[in-house]
Amino acid sequence: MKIAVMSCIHSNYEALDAVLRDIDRAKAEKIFCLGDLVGYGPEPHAVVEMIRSLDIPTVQGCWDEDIVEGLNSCECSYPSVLAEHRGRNIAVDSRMNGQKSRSIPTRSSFWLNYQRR
Amino acid sequence: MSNLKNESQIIAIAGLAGAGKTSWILQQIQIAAQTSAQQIVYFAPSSGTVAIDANLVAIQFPDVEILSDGQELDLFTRVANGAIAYVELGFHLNLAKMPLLDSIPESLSYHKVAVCPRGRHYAEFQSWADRVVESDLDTAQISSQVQVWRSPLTGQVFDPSSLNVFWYELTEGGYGEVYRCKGIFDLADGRAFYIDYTKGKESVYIELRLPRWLEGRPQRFSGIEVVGAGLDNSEMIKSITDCCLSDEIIQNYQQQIKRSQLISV
Repeated sequence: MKIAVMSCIHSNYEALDAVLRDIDRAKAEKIFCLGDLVGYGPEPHAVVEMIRSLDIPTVQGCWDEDIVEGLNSCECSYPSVLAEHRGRNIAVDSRMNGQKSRSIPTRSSFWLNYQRR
Repeated sequence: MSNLKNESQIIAIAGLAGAGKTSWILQQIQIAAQTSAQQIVYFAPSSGTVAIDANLVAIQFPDVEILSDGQELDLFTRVANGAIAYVELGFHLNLAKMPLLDSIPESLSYHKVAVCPRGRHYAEFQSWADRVVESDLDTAQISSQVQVWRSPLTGQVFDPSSLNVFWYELTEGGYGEVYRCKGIFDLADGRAFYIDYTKGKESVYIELRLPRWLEGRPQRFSGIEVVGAGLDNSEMIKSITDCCLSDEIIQNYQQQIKRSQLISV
């Protein structure tokens, strides 16, 4: 069985699209996402929508938690001050626009869900 | 590119954006500086307060006198007293209407040079120039809807990673179609860089021969110029602003650099 595992998408929708195409070409039967859907990239909502629409089992990364909750629990290190400014703007945007990534499960719930399948 | 004789004269240089005008001038100044003690003057009319080329010349050759708009008579006086003056005409200037060139006294020697990419022929420049110099650089294909956007950056300090991201976005069309862009930037470690891009070519990064600025915000010139079409000026400003460091972070970096300098001594 071919399993595709991905993570650290960081709001990069174009990269996600390219990876999904590659997974499709490789004919993986199952895809798992290990979190960090959002962060400092330009398209957080598009990334979350895509992951949800494909029903990809996903755990919540520390960036996902921090961006949505406005926390700094994992002391995430932005790659540049530009990314940090953009990330913080996106954080505000995310909180004000339906909190789309809030419903991503935490690690434990993901594994429980997976074990039930 | 070949050089001209070192004689007292005004040399006006024209060419498209990215053709190599400033590179040719820097080459001529280098040769002149090695072979004579003749005074050298540089002037770029209508370059405003964000005179990147003039500042680059001044940094590379501190002995060259840089003149600005309003000092045209000083330029004539310098040449009358034996100097050689390079007058760089921006691609946006109308060569047919150049009051400076029209007012050059007959007593002064005056020479017009067009810098064109090798193998390319531009009637506008060839009919104007006394001499065409072929450069190895290729020029940007510039549409008639060209925009020039300039911004001073003096006092701003860039996070290098952020500047890299911004420059990539800029040259890849994230803020509109860019034919040419160049700038002088102060970085967090106190160094200053000149970055130059012409469409279709790789960006060039040159560390400038300036002392590291480690005492607060740099009090020396930095700035950016972008030539393109459909430029989103407000987004460029927003991104540039987001690339710049706060006073607190600048101080933090500067203290680290100074400490490491003390350790290495």
